[in-house]
Amino acid sequence: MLKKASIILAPMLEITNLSVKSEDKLILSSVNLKVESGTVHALMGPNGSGKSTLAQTLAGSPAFTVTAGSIVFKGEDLLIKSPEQRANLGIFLSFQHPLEIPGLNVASFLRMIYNRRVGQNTLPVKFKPILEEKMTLAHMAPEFAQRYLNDGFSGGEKKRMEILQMLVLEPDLVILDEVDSGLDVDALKDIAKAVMYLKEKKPQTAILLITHYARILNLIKPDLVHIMQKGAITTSGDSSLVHTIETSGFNNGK
Amino acid sequence: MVKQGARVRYTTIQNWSGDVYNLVTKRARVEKDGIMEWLDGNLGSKATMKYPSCYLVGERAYGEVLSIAYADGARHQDAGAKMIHIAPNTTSKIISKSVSIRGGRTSYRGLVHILPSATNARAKVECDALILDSKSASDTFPVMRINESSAQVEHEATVSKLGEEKLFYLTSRGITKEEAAGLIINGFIEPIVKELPLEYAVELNRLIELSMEGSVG
Ligand SMILES: Nc1ncnc2c1ncn2[C@@H]1O[C@H](COP(=O)(O)OP(=O)(O)O)[C@@H](O)[C@H]1O
Ligand SMILES: [Mg+2]
Repeated sequence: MLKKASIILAPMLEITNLSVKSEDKLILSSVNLKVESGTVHALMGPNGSGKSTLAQTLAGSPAFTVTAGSIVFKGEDLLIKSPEQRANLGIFLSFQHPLEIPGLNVASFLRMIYNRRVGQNTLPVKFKPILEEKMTLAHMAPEFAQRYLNDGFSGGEKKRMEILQMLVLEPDLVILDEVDSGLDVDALKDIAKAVMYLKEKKPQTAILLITHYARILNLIKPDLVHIMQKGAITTSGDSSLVHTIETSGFNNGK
Repeated sequence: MVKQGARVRYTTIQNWSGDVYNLVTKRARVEKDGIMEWLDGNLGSKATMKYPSCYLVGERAYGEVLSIAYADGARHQDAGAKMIHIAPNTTSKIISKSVSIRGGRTSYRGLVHILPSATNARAKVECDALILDSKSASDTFPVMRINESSAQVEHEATVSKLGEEKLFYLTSRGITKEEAAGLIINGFIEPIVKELPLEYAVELNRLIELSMEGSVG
């Protein structure tokens, strides 16, 4: 009994004293963060403070090197795992700048990653209705299934495509890196709705939401808010922190 | 030989073993309103030198070459096309896509020749190269001989490297690096592959997936 209880209480994600560099520049220093399953964390902070670096490091980007510290996800050491192993463990990153892959058909790509996630081969005829349902949830026109991945998409369409991939994979930890930037109010609502849909369907899903703006946090309410400055988390608190930042900026957030 | 008003499409996909020298001559003479399309895929062999050509001898004749060159390892794919515009209002299009991997080398060698007799001729050349690693290389030798002032000629060339960022983006969705590289390469040649008969397209994609296995660091 006791053992079981301790497993439940261990956080889904635990980042301890994490330092990260790119080439020879130190970007993150001694970052600590615990994310329990089922919780929503907001990560805010000025441009260049290291938010995307943290997100990319969690997903296993080869552009960054971890120089110290640890990341444990669902009891496993993430730092020895490749990006695809992390994805298969249930980590999903919605990229701040999604990449364009000309010639790669959206429907066949999504079927491929869906099959990998569920560990079986779903035939195209079986996958079609699944995809249609997810596209409706992401408010994407059916034509997008036959486009090439992000190729020639607008900024907002790319963000919807990230959300569609999230819905297809149904991850355990969703990292949303500025999914709200450059979106109009309606698009923002659609995306927030899709995220909330996933959270209701799988309540244990944890969300790390990176943003500059309070408006998305009114739609996806954070349990905890963290402020990152110059590569470190300088303040953490409840959602009231969002309003302090809104009125007095990051520097007075303390 | 393409007679008046006729349309010919000649599709070749070749995957020779590594000790073959593949030197081929392919020539078509295209008469009035005729259409000649060469669709050419070259994968294996030690060295390939292949430049399908169209002699556009009749008015409004059209010539097209779509080619894919895939050079894996100690191979040199030297491919291209020749378009000789002889009659008025003739048009031509060359699209060449090349992929070099594990020290492979691709070259595009093309000729667009517009003779004084070919008034209002139009020619378009597009060559795109994808280089997978630092050991591989690609170069282009386009030659344009324009002897007629009313000619419209377009030439575009791009060289891209298989980016770490794209690989990371795809692998972060749960697929391996090799699979991701295969998707990027197949996507790169897709504009040509979609013109192929289905069996050829499937075979070509499969050959590339096979060649990807264990190839990306
Ligand atoms: N691939 C990279 N190579 C070198 N420096 C980088 C790279 N990515 C980010 N940086 C630098 O790291 C710092 C943090 O960037 P980033 O994590 O993108 O911040 P944020 O997402 O908070 O705006 C910035 O100074 C940025 O210039
Ligand atoms: Mg960022």
